[in-house]
Amino acid sequence: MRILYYISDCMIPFVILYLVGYGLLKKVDIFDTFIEGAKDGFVTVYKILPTLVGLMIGVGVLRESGAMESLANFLSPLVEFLHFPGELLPLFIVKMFSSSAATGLLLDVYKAYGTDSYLGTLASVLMSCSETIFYTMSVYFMTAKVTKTRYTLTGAMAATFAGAAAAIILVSL
Amino acid sequence: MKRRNPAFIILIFLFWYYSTIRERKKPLLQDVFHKVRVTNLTQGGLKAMEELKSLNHGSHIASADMCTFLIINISSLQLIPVNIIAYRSQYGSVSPTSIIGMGLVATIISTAAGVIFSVIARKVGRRS
Repeated sequence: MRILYYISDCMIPFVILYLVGYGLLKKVDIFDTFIEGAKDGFVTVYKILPTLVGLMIGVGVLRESGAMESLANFLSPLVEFLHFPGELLPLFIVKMFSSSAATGLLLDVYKAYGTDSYLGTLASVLMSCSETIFYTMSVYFMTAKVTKTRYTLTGAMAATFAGAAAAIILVSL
Repeated sequence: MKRRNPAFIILIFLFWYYSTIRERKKPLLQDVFHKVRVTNLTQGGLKAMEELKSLNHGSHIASADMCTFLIINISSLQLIPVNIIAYRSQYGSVSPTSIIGMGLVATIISTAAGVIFSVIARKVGRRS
């Protein structure tokens, strides 16, 4: 436990030291390379920003208007049949769009039910095994200007649902 | 003396492993897999995506490699969910790290499902 915190504290300084040290060892002009990389970073931001703005507005509207909640309410009898607690459904849906919004909901779950309850544990495991499908897909495909995505969404959904099923079984054990 | 956390050893191994990648010349798809596992950074991923697009002759239809890449990227392996552990301890969990094992198994299953799905989809797509 302590060592884990220790590692996560040291991680970023370690990575930076490692990169600089590796560059020195290979006799690379570190500062120039850094400047070039920073320029690349800006180009990336410039490329994904329009997609990002659209997505953020979409998620914001869905959340603030309560559409996400009514969708969750509508679906909860169905998912409870699959032993998925309806309380966690908004979290599961939001996680597909936005990681930070899902974190807010996760903290709400912790506050309401406690971190070590069944719901708290399940929420933690769900958060650690799922990814922001729609966010990732839209950023990548929009940047590459690909419009026909074929089976990517189905596959990503299949992977996420497999992870969720595994989480439910593992936590219930 | 405290028992060394296995995560520590895994991390050291990963750093060594990833530092050797640049030297090796790998076929593209394997390189893409490495990128997913190494960084999961948007920038590296976007570069990989653009390379895949040029391999696909700039078509606006996703190639099978793109689908595989994104499915695996999305169902990414997450070894230690550090921020979740931090939130758990902040909100008074008795053992914040108790989810690591379950999370690891669940993320492996989800990635495995993604891999199996893309292998099957690739075969089906080739036949038709």
